[in-house]
Amino acid sequence: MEQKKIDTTLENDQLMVERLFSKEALANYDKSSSNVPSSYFEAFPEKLQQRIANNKPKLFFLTPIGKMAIAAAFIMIVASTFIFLNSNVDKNLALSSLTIQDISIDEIEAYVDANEWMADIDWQSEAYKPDAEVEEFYKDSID
Amino acid sequence: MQSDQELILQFQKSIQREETFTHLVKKHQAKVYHQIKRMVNDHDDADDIAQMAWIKIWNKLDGFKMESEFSTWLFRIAYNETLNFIAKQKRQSSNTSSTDILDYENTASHTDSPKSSEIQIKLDQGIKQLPEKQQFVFMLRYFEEYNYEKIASITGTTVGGAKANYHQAIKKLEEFLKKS
Repeated sequence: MEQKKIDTTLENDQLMVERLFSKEALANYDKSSSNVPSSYFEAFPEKLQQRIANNKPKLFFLTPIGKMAIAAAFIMIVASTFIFLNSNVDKNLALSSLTIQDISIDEIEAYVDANEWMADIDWQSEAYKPDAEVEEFYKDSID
Repeated sequence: MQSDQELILQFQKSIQREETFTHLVKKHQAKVYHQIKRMVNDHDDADDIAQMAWIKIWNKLDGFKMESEFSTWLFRIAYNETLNFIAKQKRQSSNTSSTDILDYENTASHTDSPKSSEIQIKLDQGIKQLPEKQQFVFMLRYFEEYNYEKIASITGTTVGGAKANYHQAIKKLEEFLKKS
């Protein structure tokens, strides 16, 4: 009954137009609008997918996988920063609690032997600078 | 054949998204294209608008809650894209409108040449002079045979508003015929 009522209304609405224009003219109007190049609809989905694929980098962040990847990367950054900072605190603590008495004489001598030549290089490079005043370098030893 | 709802659920669960989307496109592409083409009368423009509408669907389909029919939502997006396109075109070529009408008249008479008649040309011109919203409502009602509830959802008006738009369109067509 309801369906019949709706159909009647539609029919009446269509009749209102057909009073003004012939059914044939209306059908021709629709027909001319329906003209499409051959194979247009067959090719359309592929063409559309290509256009979508060109925009994909932007879209990736909107997909559920993209959102999960961003969340995972964020957690990784926070976790690695936390681990890095904690390990540095441990090292600093170990160094600050170390006193000269804890290091053996042999270790100190070995360190001095190994680094002595570097001190020489530093001294020489400063001394041979063109505007260097040699007296400045001997001052300590003179005093 | 799978229903729209099944296809959308598959898409939202990221199961073969491209393939699922292509199914949806194949199901609805012709109707959407024809409705746009009736409004813009040019294949390339209709193709471009249809593509823009489908890209919007792709971008927003994850958030589609199926509170309305998919086809209603799709037509609504196509409707908005078409109106945006027409508005843009009007801005760009506001001083060439008389030439457009002349071109359109020539195209119409050429395409339907054997059956072409004065009434055919008047119909083309009469529909063309209607405001876009009335054109859209008229075509959805007469050619697609949609009910007013659906037309109202597509055009973002009330059922009463959609009915008024249709009857206004008929009245304007009648007046146009009397004048010409």
